Amino acid sequence: MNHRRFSLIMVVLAWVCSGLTAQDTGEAADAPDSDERKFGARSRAYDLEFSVSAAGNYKRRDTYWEGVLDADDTVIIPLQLFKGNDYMIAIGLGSKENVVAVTAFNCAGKVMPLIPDEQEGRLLLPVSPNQSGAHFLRLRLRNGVTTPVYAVMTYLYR
Amino acid sequence: MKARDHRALVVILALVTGVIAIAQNEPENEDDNEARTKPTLQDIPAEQFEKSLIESDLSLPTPAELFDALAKQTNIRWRSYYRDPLTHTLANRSNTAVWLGARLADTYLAMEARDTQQVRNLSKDIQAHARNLGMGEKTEARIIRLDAFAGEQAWTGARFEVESLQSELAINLRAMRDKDLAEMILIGVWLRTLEITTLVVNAEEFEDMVVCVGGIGMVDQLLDRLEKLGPGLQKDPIIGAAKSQLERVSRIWKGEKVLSGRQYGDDEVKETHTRISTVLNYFVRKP
Repeated sequence: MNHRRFSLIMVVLAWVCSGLTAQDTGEAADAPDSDERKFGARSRAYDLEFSVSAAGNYKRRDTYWEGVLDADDTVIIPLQLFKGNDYMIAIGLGSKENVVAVTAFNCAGKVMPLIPDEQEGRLLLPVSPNQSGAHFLRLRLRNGVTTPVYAVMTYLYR
Repeated sequence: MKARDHRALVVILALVTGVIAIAQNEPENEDDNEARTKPTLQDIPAEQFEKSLIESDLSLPTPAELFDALAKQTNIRWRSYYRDPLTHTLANRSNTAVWLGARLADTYLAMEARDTQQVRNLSKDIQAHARNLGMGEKTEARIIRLDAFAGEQAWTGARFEVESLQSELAINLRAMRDKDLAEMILIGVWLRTLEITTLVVNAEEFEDMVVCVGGIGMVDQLLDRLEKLGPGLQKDPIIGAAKSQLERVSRIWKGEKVLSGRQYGDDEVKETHTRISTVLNYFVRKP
């Protein structure tokens, strides 16, 4: 009888523990800066880099910006771009469902009318500056999106 | 009576002229200071800009990007811009870091010239200076790969290796709590790059002269990095002198002047070259 009760308690405990562990794992995986999201964003950025450099004769940089984009949060990254060069800004996101709004500004801070090529958590933005100097790239979540997104950004040039 | 009136008129005229001159000068100086810290950005709200602007190594381009942009405008004889190695030992670690950065820039230059032997000479020099900073072992693998790429004339791979080498040096120095030395390497890279580009723009025909200083905002970025160095280095008179020279360069190529289409000539480029060269030489002169 005691043995049977002990076994029952153990089974219940095991079930509760497994449930808790699963819940923990689920929450960790959903965190915007979880290893899974970071890996996803990095691998998407690398995929873009390699495909663009192979197809378009672009040169890669070995420097990246990466971080979490929160709701109501905006990130502005200055980029020193040179007239005469073509640039391809490559952004990888934590999951293929993620989307972000990207805007490029020229040296005078005017919006550059550029259309990004965006699919499955990968975003490419071609930029051909008509002035050499500091340009600015603004990243933020799309209107209405509240789930934070992990993003990795770099650029290529030719 | 007439003479007194005349004197009064002269005094009034002098005062009016003085006031106008002061009024014309003051905003100019204010603009100069303002332009470096707060760029005028038409479509970005100032508050959002200040709050959201982040610092990233990605903001500092590689010299190869600037050399590429220059080479698209004219044919450049890159080999004529080589700089000889130093024959003396440098005074301290921060000066060594600046010169190490300068040699990285020279490696990009040698790659533009597609000069395998020069890349190999420079990689030896870089390794010697990296060793002086305690980074000898950490750079060895990259140097071997760089030499191999240069040997195969695979310049795209070689450029990538130089940037990786520069990034690894910075990461390792920051990990060793030598953040300032990592910054000094980046400053050295860009001082030497601008020393080269001002010479190139002075010697060749260029439509877009601001490219000699790496475009609008490049010198300001260097100044910001110098200003953010730790208190120990801020006491170094060389840093103060370097900031003063770069402030003067920044005023010559202030963003608004360039954007207004102001015409620049050889004099501005020469003055810029002299000042940039002076700054680099402050760091690498004999102790």
